[in-house]
Parts: sequence; structure tokens; C-alpha cells
Amino acid sequence: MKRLRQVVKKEVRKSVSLRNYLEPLLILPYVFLGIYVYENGFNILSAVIGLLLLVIVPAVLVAFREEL
Amino acid sequence: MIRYFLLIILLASFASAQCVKPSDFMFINESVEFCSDTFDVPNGLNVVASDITIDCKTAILRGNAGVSNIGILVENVKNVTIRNCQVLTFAQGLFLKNVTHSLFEKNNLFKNNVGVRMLYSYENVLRDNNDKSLTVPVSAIMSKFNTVLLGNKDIDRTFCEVNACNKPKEFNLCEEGDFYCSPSCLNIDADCSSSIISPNSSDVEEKSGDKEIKTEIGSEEFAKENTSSLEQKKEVQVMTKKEGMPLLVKLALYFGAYILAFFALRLFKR
Repeated sequence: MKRLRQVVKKEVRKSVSLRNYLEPLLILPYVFLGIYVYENGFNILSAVIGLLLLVIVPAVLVAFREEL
Repeated sequence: MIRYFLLIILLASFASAQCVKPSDFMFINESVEFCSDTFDVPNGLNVVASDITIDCKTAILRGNAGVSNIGILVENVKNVTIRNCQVLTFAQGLFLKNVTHSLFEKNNLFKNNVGVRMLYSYENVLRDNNDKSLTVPVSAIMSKFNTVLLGNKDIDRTFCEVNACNKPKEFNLCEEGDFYCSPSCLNIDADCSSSIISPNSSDVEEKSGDKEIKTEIGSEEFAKENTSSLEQKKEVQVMTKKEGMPLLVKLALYFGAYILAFFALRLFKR
């Protein structure tokens, strides 16, 4: 039983790596875009950032999905 | 024939009576024309009323060299015109303090230490003035949007960055963040909303050497105008501009989004 607990703990540790904490950081630019548009309205800068985040970044992620 | 001659002399004396002889330390509060003569005014003249014109008619206003301080002091006024004056041998020929929208033209400023000194003065025009000062022709402190065109020389000083020197320049009077509220920008300029450096409506504190001068300016009409326009400005601001999101809310949003993304990715991977 004790041995089993140790194995489960190791499994959990392996499953929660640094990558798991870094990947969600990708959401932050989108939150920034939302706040920016809320505060300043739709302008040229928000359009550029929106294009980058909603078109270019997803495209890059899809293209290099295998390597990532 | 003698009658006509007497009539002409009487009319001439009447006409010459129209001009005013400036006296030392004279306070000018209405439009005047000076007589064409030389006047010793060691304590200078004071212009204290707005919307007036002073035509010196080439009168020479002379101070005591090394003793006299200011030739013509123009203080806390707007829309004043001074022309055709010859100001000699003062420390400062023309001193503009808290003056706006005024015109100074065709004056000759000779043998003064400083020809024209401006302090808290905005949107004035100095043109066709000839200067032969001992140190600097024009000095401007806390003054913007003035046009300085000397007739006999060009000037190149640091205040020319915010004033027009040697040739007319278009100003953005409604520029935000310059602490000046132009009357023409009351509903546009953000500087009109709170602390305003505005003509004839504020207290000006200044230190001149070790002497502290406090000038209280009381133009109630202008203050009323400003108050009403400020209210209008605030209303417009409330209507048009949303308030910025508080920092804590922003942080909470970032953190919440991160947590959501974290768990969403974990669920997605399983």
C-alpha cells in the first residue's frame, strides 16, 4: 500500500511539469486585448494587436504544432 | 484774417490737448495717446486695464540707467495694444506679467538690460519692435504661444521652442499636459479641467531674488466663464469617456484567465 502511494505521487509529479504552468500564460495577451478594447475602444492599435493574436498566433501554433 | 489765424491756433491747441503727458509711475487704465516728447519716468508706467490701446506716438520714455527697473509694466491684463513707444535705459524695457492676447508693435527698446521680459504670458504678438538691449533682447519665463518678431534682429533662445521667434508659427493651443488652458480650447483641452494657468483668473506666486511677491488677480467675469465651461467640460467627459478599469480588477482578470486556461488545458490533455 505504501509502495502504491509513492508510485501515485511520482505519477502526479510527472504529469504536472513546468510546461503545464507556462502554457496557460498564452492567454494573457488576449486578456490584455480585451481590457485595451474595453478602455480605449476600437482603434488602429487594437486592430493590429487583434490581428496578431486572433490570426497570426493561431496560424503559427497550428503550423508548428508538431514541433511544439 | 486775424480771426482765422486765432481760430487755427485755438484748434491746434485743442488738438494737441488730446495727447497725454506720461508721468512717473503712472497707472494707465484707459486708451491713451502720448504726446511726442521725451519724458523722464524713472519708475516707469503701469498698464492695469484690459482691452485698451496705448499709442506713444514716438514718445521717449527714459529711465535712470542702472537704477530704473521696469519701463512699461503690463500686468494681469489681456487684449492690450502698445505701439510706437521708445523705451530707454531701464533694467527691463517692457515687462509682461500674466498678459494674454496682446499686441506690442513698432516700439523701440534701446539701452535696456533686457528689452522685453515675459512671465506667465501667453498668445501675445510682439512685432516690428527694434531692440538694442545690453544683455538679451527678449526673455520669456513660463510663457508660451507668443510670437516674437523683432524688426532689426533675429533671436535664437530656448523659449523659441514654445514660442514663435523670427517668423510666425502655428501653435496647437489645445495641447494637453502643458498646464495652460487657452480660452479657445475650453471644451477640448484637458488642462482646462482642473488646475489651470489661465489669463487673469489665478493667483500667481513668484520669487524675484529674495523678494516674494504675491499677486492676486480678481477678474470675476473670467472666473465665472471658466467655472461654467469647466462644468460643461466635465459633463462632456462623463458622456464621452469611460473610466479606466481599476488595477485590482485587471489583475483579477489576468489571474482568473490564467487559472481557467490552466485547468482547461489539463482537462484537454486528459
